[in-house]
Amino acid sequence: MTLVPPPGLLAAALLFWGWRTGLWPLVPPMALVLELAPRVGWRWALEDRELARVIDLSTLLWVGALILLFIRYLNQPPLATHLYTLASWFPLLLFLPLAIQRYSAVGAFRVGHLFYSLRHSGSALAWQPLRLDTPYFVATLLAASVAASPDFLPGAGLLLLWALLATRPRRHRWLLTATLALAAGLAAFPLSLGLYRLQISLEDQFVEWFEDWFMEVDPYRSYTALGEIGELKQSGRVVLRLKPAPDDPGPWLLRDASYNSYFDGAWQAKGTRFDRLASRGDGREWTLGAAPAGVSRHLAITLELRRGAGMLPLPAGAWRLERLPVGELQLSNLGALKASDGPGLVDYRVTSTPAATRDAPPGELDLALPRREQATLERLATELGLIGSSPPIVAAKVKAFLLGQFRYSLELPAPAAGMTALETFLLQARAGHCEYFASAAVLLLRAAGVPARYATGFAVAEYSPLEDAYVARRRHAHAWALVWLDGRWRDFDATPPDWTGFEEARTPWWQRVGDLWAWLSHRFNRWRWRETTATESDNGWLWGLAGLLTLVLLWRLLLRRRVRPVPAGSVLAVTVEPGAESPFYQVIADLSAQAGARPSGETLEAWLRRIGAWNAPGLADMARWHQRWRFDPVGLVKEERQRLAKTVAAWRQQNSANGQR
Amino acid sequence: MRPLFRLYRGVHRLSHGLRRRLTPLGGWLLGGWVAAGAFGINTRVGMTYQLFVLLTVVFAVALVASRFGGLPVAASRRLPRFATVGQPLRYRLHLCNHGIEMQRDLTAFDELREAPPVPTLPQRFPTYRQWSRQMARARGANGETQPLPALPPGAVTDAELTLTPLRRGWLEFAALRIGRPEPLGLLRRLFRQPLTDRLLVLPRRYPMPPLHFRDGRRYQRGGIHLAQSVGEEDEFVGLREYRPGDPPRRIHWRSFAKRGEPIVKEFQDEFFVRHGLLLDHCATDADDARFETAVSAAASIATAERGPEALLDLLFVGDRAYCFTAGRGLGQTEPLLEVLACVTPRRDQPFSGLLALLAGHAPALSACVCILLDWDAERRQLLDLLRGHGVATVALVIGPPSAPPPPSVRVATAETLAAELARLTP
Repeated sequence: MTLVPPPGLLAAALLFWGWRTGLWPLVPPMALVLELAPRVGWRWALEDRELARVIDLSTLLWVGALILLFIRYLNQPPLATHLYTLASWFPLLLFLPLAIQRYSAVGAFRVGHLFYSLRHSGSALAWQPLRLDTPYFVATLLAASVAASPDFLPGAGLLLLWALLATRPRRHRWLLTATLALAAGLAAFPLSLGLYRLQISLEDQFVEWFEDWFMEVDPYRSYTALGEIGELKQSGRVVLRLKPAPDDPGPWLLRDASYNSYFDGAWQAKGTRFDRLASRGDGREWTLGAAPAGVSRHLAITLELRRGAGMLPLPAGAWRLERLPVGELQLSNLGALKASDGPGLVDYRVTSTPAATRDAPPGELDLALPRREQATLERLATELGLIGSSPPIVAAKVKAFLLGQFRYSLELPAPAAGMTALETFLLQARAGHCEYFASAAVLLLRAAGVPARYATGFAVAEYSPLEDAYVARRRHAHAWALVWLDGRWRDFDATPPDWTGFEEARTPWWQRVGDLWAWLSHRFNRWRWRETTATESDNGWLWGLAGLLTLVLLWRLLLRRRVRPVPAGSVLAVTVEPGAESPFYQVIADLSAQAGARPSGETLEAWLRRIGAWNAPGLADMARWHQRWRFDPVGLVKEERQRLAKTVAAWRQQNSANGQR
Repeated sequence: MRPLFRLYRGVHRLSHGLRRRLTPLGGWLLGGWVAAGAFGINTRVGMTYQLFVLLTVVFAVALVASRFGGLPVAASRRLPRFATVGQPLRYRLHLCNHGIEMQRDLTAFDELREAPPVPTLPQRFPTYRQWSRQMARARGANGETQPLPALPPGAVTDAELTLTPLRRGWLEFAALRIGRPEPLGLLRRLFRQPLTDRLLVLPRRYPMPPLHFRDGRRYQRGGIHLAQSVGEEDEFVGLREYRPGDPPRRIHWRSFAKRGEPIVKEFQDEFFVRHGLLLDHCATDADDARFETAVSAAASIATAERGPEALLDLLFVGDRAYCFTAGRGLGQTEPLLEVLACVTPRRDQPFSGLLALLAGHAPALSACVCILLDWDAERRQLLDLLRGHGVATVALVIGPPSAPPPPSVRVATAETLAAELARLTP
């Protein structure tokens, strides 16, 4: 049973799609091409092999679209957005095979065209005809639904009603079909609203449940989630690249956030206020404060921004950023810099001067001690002789205490009974990772009356010869303290310096391969984002390729022989006989006029021999060429056809001359 | 049942059920419904969830609407006696509309019963396609949903249905399913009519040249009782004097009365041409395909022209040794094909059974065609036995054999069987 949508339905569906997706300029030519097909009087005589090639070309278009969207996804996740884009292109991607189907003499593909495994199979499934009209209609409805604009349901309902009425079983009255379809359409309105609300309600419930169960058990993923150290520490993925000035030996601590309040294993940034910064010059230069006096250092940092937004890690004393093409930059009073509306990759230049500061001066919170650990911290401060010492001496004593009596460990032991995790670290375990050292340093400094903050970011010390740059991996995420000394905030890293060795020891053997892949991916991203945030222009080559392929197809189609379609019902299939245009038929006609027509059942050669024409000069050769044209799968090449035409012309001239004599 | 097969069976039932119940438009819209469900999973993005809801409601309405009304159509099949493997079988369906409404857009398909036991697959982890093919073979035929003509009220008409048998043996029809679309034209309600029928599917056969062996007639032991119907026309030779020991029923009473001494009738011994067709039953591998090829070869040879005077003995070992004879009034080729349609390989019976059967028959045979499933010492012994009796022998091994046979023995596979049979000459 063949299923053909009624005239105008596909055009209406395309109009609906164009209106909703904004691709309406494409609709008139597409609709015209599809709807004019039944009215034109010719068809392309495409063979099975050529129809398969049309499917192949269409597959290429699909693959091209997928590659294009995958590239976009790499730079701008999430994947779902690009899948929706793909869905909105369905009518475009399916248009070519449908148009060819409508203008081909056969009028249908077959299932075998879709699958290589079935293409040369003789199975019944492979030869089952496949008309793309109905799937195209369904795909167009789906593509129209992807757009977020309202008023989808009435349009889709009407189109579906039209389709159902046109293809309804003839034993039922149209009124019954229309009533049932309308009832279904009307019921869909409240149900779709209900589904929408159900999802919102489920999401809220899930978030509540998730918070109840998971937020308590992970002490490093609370309010200081900007750092996300606890869980991701072991990953070797390169997250940023740094190129220093030649005279700058490093290492560098790049801070992306700082926090001022500690409670139960979690650091919070209380009283945080973000202020928007104004760009300067070409919109890519940003100043975090007034230009300070002193020698400036320069660093170039390359960083991937997920969805074009994220925290920018900066060295201490950073005051100016250049080549940073983001739409918005916000600076918090705790020195965190948040970028948004940017490209997927930024390569910015930072100028820093030790005297510069982007953090607010210390406040009460920078001296506060957590209630649970307060007694322990104060007792320890007294034991270490911190009370009453000057801030530089306090800092030195704290550093000596932590570096001398503690060791670095990546193991997370369970807190001792009656103690918090930090107390266990300070009094019993005396081993931990950088977050313990940083938290202990901050709180001991505070216990001694020196303002301090907790900072997170990256410690960059690994040089990559492959990239000719210093790289920071996820496992280089680090935590340290900020201490207020001599009227400015200074980095205070009390973690034993061999911590990087611990991390390196856990490097898996395949990291080299991963690094190579990361570098290639980075090079690709650099090329992808070579021009600020331009997105569409980079796809020019893909569109160019698609256009070229389409032109090739059009050229090949224009060269095709066209045939007139036979009225429906008169024949079942169109067959094209090879050699039908052979000029030897004229010779046969001449000989038939002279010696009587060839009876059916007698071969051409036998007939020519019987009437005595076989031995005439050149005639046997002509007959052989003629038969080869008709029956040899290769046929005759152009030169042979020309030679046959010439020989036939000469023979006919000679024959007519003989006749006149 | 292994979990894999359970999964395959579930997928098969789902896909077949959908294919039988959905109209073409319904099929495409169901595909759209699945896609809309996937794309509309997040109702905050796009309006695809609305399309999903719309199609859900449309299908729900169609499902409810399809439950109304009965089908007052009676059907019966008009089946031929036989069908052949791989050849489309066309048969008539006799339909009668008892209702007062015109019945249009009806479709029908046959529900076939699976042949027990379900054959095992040679692969340990077959693909779905291999499994599906095997199941279709077990059912016996590939039948698609086919449209029926419009039936006005009270009309009695015939429709032609087509079915392609996939294996030999009995094809069991369990029921006929007639589908009727609902008002939206998306779903069909299937009405089951318990029409049980059976049909014998004959083995696939290939064209062959006539088999005329040069060897002449042989004395047929015990041929006296056959002579009445199949012996020579002039079996009565003459009269002679009575010798002690002659049976009294041979006494020619009229001559006895005329001569006054007993005269008996004398008969000529029976000589006629008798060909053997020997089918090897000992398949060496678990795959039945080789045996099927052998049965096809046997069926082709059984139907080949062999002259009006020749008898053909089909020799094989089933649960015991069998010899079926055809020709010269003893039966036609058809019963042989029926036997071949139902013959099964017997791995539990030794090859020596066939040797013993042949030892008894060899003296009566003029020629023998042996279809062997392998080549080894026992089979060589079999050919030696035949040649020892002066029987002209043609041997065809359905390969590939485990040992190379001598050049006089031909080897054929399922692919080359047609070509080998076409040039098979004594």
